[in-house]
Amino acid sequence: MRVAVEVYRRGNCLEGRELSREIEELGIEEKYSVSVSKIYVIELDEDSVPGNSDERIKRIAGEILIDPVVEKYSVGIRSMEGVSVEVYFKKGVLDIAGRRAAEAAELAGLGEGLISVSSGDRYVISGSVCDMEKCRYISEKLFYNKVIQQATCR
Amino acid sequence: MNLNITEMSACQLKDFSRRYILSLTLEELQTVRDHFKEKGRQPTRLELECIAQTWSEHCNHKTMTGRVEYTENGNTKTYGNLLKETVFKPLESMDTGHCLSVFKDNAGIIKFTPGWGIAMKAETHNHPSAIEPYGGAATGVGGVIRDILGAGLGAKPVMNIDVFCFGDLDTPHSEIPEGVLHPRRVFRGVVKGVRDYSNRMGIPTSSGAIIFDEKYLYNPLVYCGTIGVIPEKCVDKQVVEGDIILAVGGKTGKDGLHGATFSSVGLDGCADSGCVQIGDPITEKQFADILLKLRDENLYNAVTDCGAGGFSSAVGEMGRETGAVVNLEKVTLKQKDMEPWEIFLSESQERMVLSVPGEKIERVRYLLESEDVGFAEIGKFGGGKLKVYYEDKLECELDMDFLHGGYPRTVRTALWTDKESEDIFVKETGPADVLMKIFSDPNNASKEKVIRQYDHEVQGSSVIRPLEGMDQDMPQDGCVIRPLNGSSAGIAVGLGINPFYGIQDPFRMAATVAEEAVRNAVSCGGDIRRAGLMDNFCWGDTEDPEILGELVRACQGCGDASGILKIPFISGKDSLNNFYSTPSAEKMNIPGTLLVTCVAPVENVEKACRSSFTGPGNLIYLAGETLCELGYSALSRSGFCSGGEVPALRKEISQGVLEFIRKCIERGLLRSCHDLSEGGLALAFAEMCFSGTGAEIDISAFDLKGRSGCGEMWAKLFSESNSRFLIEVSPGNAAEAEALADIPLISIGRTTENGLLQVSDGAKTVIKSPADRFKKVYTEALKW
Repeated sequence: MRVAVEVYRRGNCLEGRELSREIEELGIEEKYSVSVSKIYVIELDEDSVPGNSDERIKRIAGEILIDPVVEKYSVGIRSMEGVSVEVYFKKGVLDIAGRRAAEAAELAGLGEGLISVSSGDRYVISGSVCDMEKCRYISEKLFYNKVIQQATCR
Repeated sequence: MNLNITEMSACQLKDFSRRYILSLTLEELQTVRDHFKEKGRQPTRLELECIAQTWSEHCNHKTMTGRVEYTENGNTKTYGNLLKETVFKPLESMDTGHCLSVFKDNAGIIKFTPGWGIAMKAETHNHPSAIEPYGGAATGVGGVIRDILGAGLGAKPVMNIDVFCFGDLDTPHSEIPEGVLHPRRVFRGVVKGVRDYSNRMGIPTSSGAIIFDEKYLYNPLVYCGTIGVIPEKCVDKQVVEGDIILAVGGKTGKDGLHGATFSSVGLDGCADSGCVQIGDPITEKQFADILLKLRDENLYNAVTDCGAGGFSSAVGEMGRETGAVVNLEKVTLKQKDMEPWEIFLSESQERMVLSVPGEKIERVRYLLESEDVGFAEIGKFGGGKLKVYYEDKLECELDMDFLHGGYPRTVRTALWTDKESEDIFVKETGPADVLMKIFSDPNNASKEKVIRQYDHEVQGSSVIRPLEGMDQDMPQDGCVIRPLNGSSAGIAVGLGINPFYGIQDPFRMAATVAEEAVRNAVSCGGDIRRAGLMDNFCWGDTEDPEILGELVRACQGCGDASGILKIPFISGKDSLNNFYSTPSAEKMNIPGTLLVTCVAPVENVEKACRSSFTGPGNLIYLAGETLCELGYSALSRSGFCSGGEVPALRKEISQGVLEFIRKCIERGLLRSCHDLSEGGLALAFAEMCFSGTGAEIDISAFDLKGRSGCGEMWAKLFSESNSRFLIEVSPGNAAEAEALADIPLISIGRTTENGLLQVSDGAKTVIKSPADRFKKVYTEALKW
C-alpha cells in the first residue's frame, strides 16, 4: 500500500507569505496566498507489517515526520480551496528527506514492512482569480526546478 | 562496451565527443584515437570517460598551466606554464619557511602554532549552482569541506567562507531566457544551500561577500572555501603499493555524471538531472568525525575526496605513482542499473577514498562500523597501470603516463591592448546624497539578512564575527577564530574581490584585490609575515584571445602583488568557460572575476582588532596616501562620475602601511581599524560610525598625492587608492603610534558622543548628519 501523509504548520506559514511576495515580484497583479506543506509517500508491504497498517502509518507520521510543537499531519492529502501543486524529485535524483525518514522509522522500530518513503512539497495557491495557466507559470518560476523535479497542478 | 573510434575522421570525432559530453578538443580526440590505434584495439566507454575527465579543464587546468603566446601592445611573449611564470614566480625568491604545502595537495598549508598547520582551500561550484542553486551551492560547500578533510592526512574544518556573484536582482522576469533562473531565485537558493550544508556540518560560516552585476545573469558564481587545522606531522601522505583502496561515506549513484566535463564547457540552457548533485551533510558529518579518529590512530597512508570525476579522479590521482586495480562490483550502489563507467565516474557526494595498509583494515572496519559509516574495499594500489574490472571483465587498462601526461600541449593565443582611461568627470552634487546613493547599491549595502542565516558561533571559536559593533550589525574587514582549545592563537581571514576594476585593467584589479585581502586580514590582527594567499579565477571563454589576454594580465597582477606584499600564493583553483550561449549562438561572458583570500595566524586573539569606533574622545588617523583613483569606483558605479583610473598597487608604500598596522595591533595601540576600499574614505568612515559612536573628520588635514583631475574633495572622499586605513587611537597611545609610523599618518579627526557623522573641508561643512540616517539606508537596501 502507498499512503501520502501531509505535514503542515500549526500556525502561520512564513514560507507561504514569502512566496506570496515573490508572486508579486513576478509582476502578477492579482493577489495570491500560498500555503506550503510537505508530503511523504509511505510504501508498506501490508503482509509484513505486524498489526494494523493504518496504525503504523500514523505512528510513522506522528513520531518521525512531524515536530509536534509546530506541525500537524493528515493521512491523505488535505482538501483545500485553490490550485494544488505537488512537486516531487525526478527518478534517480537523491531524495535525502525521504531516505532519512525511512532510516529514522527503522531506528524507531517502525521499519518492519516499510518499503520506502519518498518526499515532496505541496503548494496551494488561492486568490480571487485562480487561473490554472497562471498557476503553472508561478509554479515553474518559484516552486520547482524542472531539471530535477516534476510538478502536477490540479 | 567498446567504442569504435580508431578509424574516425576529425568530423566524426567531434560529433562523437559532443554526443558523449567528453568536452575534448579535436587535437585531444586525435591523440586518444592514435593511442588506441597504436595499441591495436578500441577503447571502452569507461576508458574514454576516464581520459576525458582527467584531461578536462576542470581537473587538469590546461589553460592556467599550459603554454600561452601572449601579445601585449604588439610585443609577444610565450609562457611555458602561465601559473608558474606569473602567480608562483615570486616564490623563487621569497622566504617560504612558514609554508608546509604549496599547490601540491587538496589544500595549501601554512604553519600555525607549534605542531599545528592551517589548511586552506576555496573552490567554485558555478555551473551546478546556475542550474540548481540550492543543490549546487550545498554540494559546493560539501566538496570544499572534503578537500580540507583530504588535505595531508586530514585537517579538521573550522571555518567556511562563501562569496557569490549574482545578476541584477531587479532584472524583469520577461528578460530571463528559457533555461535560465532569475537572479533572485538563484540568490535565495544559493544562500539556503550554503546555510543548510554548513550549519548541519557544524562549521561556522564567518566570512563572505556578495557582488551584484547584470553580467552574472547567465552565469552566477559561487565560491566556497574552508579553513582547517592539521597536526604538522600529518601534512604529508604517500600511497603505498599493496594498500587497500577503501571507499568511505555515501553510496554511488547516477547523480552528477559528467560533472567535470560539463563544468569545462559553457552553459546553453539545456541540462539534465544527471548533471546535478544533491548534498547530504549528515552523511558527510558522520565520516568527517570518524576520519579524524582514523587519522589520529595512524590507520591509513593517504586520503583524498571524491570530487569531480568520482573514483576516476580520486583513484587515478592517488595511484599515479603506484597504479591501481579496481573491482567495481564491490562499490556500494544506490541503484542497480548502473553501467561500469557510470560507477567509476559518478560524482555522488559525500565519498572519500583512503589508502589503507592491509594490516590495519580490521581496525578501520571496526571504527567505521561503530559510527555507522558506509565503506567498501574496492581494490588495491599497485601494478603500475589503472586497471578497472567489473565482475572479472577488464573495463579499463590505461598507462598512468598516458592518462596523466599524454594530452597534447596546445599553444593558446592571448591578446592585450592597454585601454586609455578617459578624463575624469564628477557630477557636482551634495556629498551626503552621494554617500546615501552608494549605500543604497546592493553591492555596498548590509548583507545582514544573509549573514544571519549562517551559524557563525558553532564550535565556539568565533572571536571577530562577520557583524560586530554595539548593535552587532556592523560589518568587519575580516574575521578571526580561535580553533584550538586552550590556546590563544587565532586565524584571521580577509577577502578581496572587485570585478569592476578588471574592465579597465585586470592587472591592477588582481593586485588590488590581493592587497585588499591582506588589508582585511591585517586590520583584524593577522600576522601577515606568516600568511598565505589563495587565488580563485573565474573567467569567460578563454578560447577568445582577448579574454585570455585579460586572464594573463590578472595572473601577472597576482604575481606582482605577491612579490610586493611578500606573501606567497599557496593554493588556488580556476573555473574557466563561464559563458552562456544564447539560441542565436551569441556568447555571454562573465566579467573576469578574481577572489583572493588571505589567511594569517593571529598570535594572541585578545589583541584582535575590530572595524567600528569604540567610544568618544579618541583620535582618528588616516594611514597611507590618497591619489585620485576613481575609475570604476563606487562613486562611478553610482552614476556620479565617469572616467578616471582604477587603483594601482604601489610598492613604495604598500608594505610599509601594512607593517605599520600589524605593529600597532601587536602593541595594542588601536581601538579600531578599517581598511579603505570601495567607497573610499567616506564609506569606511560612515561604516565605522554605525557602531553608535559619532565622529568628525577634516579632509583638509591631508593632501592628495598627484593631480586630482576633478574637485579635490571628491577624490579625497571617494578615491579607492590602495594601502590606506582609518584607525582609532586613544589619546594615551597617540604618541607611540605616531612614533611607529614611517609612512604618511595624518590625524584627521576624533570620535564624539553625539552620534553625528561630520565631515568638513577646512571651514566648510561637507557632511553633517546623524550616522543612523545612513545606517537605515545601508541596512534596508538589500531586499532578500
